[in-house]
Amino acid sequence: MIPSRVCHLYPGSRFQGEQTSGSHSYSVIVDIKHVDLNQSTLSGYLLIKNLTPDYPKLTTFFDAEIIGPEFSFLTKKWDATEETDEEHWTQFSSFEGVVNLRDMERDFKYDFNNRDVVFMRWKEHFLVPDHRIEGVQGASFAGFYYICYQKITGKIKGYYYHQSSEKFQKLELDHVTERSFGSYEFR
Amino acid sequence: MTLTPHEVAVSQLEAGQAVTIERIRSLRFIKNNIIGNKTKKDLYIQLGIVSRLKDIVTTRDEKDPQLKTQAVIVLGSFAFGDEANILALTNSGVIGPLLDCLNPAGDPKLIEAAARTLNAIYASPKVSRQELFMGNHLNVLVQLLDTYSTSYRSNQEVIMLHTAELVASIFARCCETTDQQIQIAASGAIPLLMRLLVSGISKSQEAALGALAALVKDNSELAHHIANMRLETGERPAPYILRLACDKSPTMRLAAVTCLTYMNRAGVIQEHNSDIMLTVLPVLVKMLQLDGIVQETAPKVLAYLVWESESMQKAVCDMEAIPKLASIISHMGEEDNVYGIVGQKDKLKENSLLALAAISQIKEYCRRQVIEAKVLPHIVTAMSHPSVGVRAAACQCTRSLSRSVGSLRTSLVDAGIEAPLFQLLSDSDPGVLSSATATLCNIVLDVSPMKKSLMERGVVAKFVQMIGYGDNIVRLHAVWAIKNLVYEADSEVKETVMRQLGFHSLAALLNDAELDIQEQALNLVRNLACKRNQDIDLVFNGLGPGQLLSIIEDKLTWDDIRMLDHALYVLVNIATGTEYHRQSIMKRSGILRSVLGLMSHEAASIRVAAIWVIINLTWSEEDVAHGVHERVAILRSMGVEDRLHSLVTDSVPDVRERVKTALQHFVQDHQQYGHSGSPSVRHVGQDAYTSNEALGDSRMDTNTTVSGTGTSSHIA
Repeated sequence: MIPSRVCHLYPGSRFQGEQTSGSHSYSVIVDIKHVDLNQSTLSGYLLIKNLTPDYPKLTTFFDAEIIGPEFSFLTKKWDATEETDEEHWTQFSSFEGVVNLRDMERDFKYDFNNRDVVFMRWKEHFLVPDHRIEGVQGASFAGFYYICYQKITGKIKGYYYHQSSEKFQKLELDHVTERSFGSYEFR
Repeated sequence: MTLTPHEVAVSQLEAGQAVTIERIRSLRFIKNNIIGNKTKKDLYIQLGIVSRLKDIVTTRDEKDPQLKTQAVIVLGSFAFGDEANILALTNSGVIGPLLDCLNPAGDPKLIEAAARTLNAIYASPKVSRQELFMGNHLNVLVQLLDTYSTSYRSNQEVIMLHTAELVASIFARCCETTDQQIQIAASGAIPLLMRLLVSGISKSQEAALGALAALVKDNSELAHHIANMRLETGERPAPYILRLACDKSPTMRLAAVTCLTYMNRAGVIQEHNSDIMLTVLPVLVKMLQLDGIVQETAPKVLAYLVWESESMQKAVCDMEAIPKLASIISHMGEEDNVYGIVGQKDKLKENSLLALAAISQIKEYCRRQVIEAKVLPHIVTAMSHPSVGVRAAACQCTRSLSRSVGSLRTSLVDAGIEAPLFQLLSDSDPGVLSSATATLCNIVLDVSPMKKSLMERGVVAKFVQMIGYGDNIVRLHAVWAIKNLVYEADSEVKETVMRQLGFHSLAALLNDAELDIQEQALNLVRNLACKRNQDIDLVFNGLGPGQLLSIIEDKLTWDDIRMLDHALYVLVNIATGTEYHRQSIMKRSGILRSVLGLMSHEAASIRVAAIWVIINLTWSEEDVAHGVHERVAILRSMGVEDRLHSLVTDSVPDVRERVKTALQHFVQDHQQYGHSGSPSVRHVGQDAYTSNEALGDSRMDTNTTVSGTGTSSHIA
């Protein structure tokens, strides 16, 4: 099982930037660990700095649903309604030209392979390195991110959504240039 | 002191000890005594009955077939349901005399009894099938399948039909190798089996299905032949068998879906793919809730049907097969192995584990269902099961489940698979060993928290040992595991690994007779030479630049995408190193020519990799700008820049983006040095390049930093 790659989305790829919440901003590093385009998924670690005093660095494992043949724009879970989907996806300027909302409601299959923009949902699951730790004072990863990645620029934008969190916390990441490439395969 | 009636009975079997009628009476006495009584069976075997029975079966005296028939029936009774007894019989050489009893001119009852006993004997996979394929036996058996060709009295009709069923069943059991399949097919059995298939008599139909399934299993040629035959009704077999898959009898359904599964996997009934999904899969899943042989066999067939098929795996997952399998495995105590024969409960466990392994092979969605079914602790326990089959199947499960970063970090750690898995690296069974090593390939990845402790346990030494002594599959897995282990590893880990493996072995693996192993070894070099100058030096000095680059140069000429990919990325990684590393590549005109050629490879991933080589060779770092200029000039003179221009409109965005970056390097060079380096101005040909190569050689010897000016003027 060889991991797949499309532009900046490959195992070992790193993105760096920040998450803004109101007037605060936190430095963020995302490391992609596995990509499986056939399954429309990828997974990785999301590291956020100085979010809480107890954890100067907080890393979570997340996996992604890549919008396409397997996953629709409509989330239908994680407390997201069609309204939530609409108000988040439309935050991305590149969304407008790509799909209209009527298409979204008809479960239109977005072809991420042949588009410049890839839309995803990133859902955090547990802490790294110790997955057994539950609940961190002052932090929560119960929600998920609406994500928009542009193949040409390597930029990722995202909005965090959780019912009881501040709305439209924004994630902005740039790809970190890497010039050497290892490779692994699941067996 | 007196003889027991059993001893008397055995002694009377000997020729000349009693009149025939007495001997028959003794046989009946013995038969009634041993039915369903294992203790009595063992007792009689100890009394030496088997050779007495064999003597009777071997006699040429055909006056009264009754004696022989009774002896054959008693042999069958011993064989039924006990593998140790079967082996006691075959060790006494009963198979030959039993096959001789099948002569169609003989007494039908004797023939039927002999077929029944042989069928019971062949239930054990440990029995050699060789004698059946010797002499005229196969032809005789085929004649017995032909129930319609001879005229017979109606009271014999049933006997002959039973015989035909038994022969079909014998064929099903003696059809394990391609050679056996071909011999049975060549004997003319298939049309007769087809006739039995449409006989409308359930038992006959089941037997025919069993034989047909065995003939088509993993044999696409025979499968194709059979799928395209016509039944007496003019119909093809598949739709007919599909109807039998919905029969009211569970054993008929099992026989039918097994046959369809093998035909489906052979790819010969593609027009029925949706029937397989909509009919066969649900029938198999429902069987998981039955009992006996049907429940035991169904998961194995299911595993075979969904193996490597993503759509089938998803479909069977949606039919809630995973909780059913999990429940079978979870509700089976270790003490449940009560059946004497080949551990039937073990088989159920083994087959259920195999099904879980198959279903969770590809999709994370299915893996998650296995985890949620809380069956993982039972899988881990099964890894230490006394039965080899169960251990291997459990290991196969962990292999499927470990193909997930999420599980590697959580459930697999919590379930404690590490210790039992490591233990299996010392297993005596090659199948278990191979399966365990395959699982470890995933467990030693950088994302796995178990990697560190496995290294402390000495897993690398184990891998190295397997590379030296294992079979080719185990060797492949071991190299694979080392490759995964050094992926994203720090320099210290890489050095530790290479101290144990040795560069001499690595060089040998790069030229191994098995291409798959070569590929893994090349991927290992790629991962070793990744990220830091220190790591590149490790490989460079370990293999020696000459040997390393010669290997790469050779691999770049292969017509094998995976090999090309790794070879190119070895260069990409080396080219991120020092001037010395880059110059070493530049000295190899063969390598540079191949890279230029691969920039136009039909696979976009190869084009991207080749362009990356160019990008890294022309990457500007402030302090060594002259070296860059020299390399740009050489590459330009070879036509690299022109080739990049031709790729500006490539259909793949990733290629176009890399081309942009690479061209920027050439443009920067123009801006800095003007057009002095342009081939269009100076028409530098291969000769100039070659002389530069010679210069490069002399510089490499002194190992000093390249001086750009001298080279430039030389090119000019």
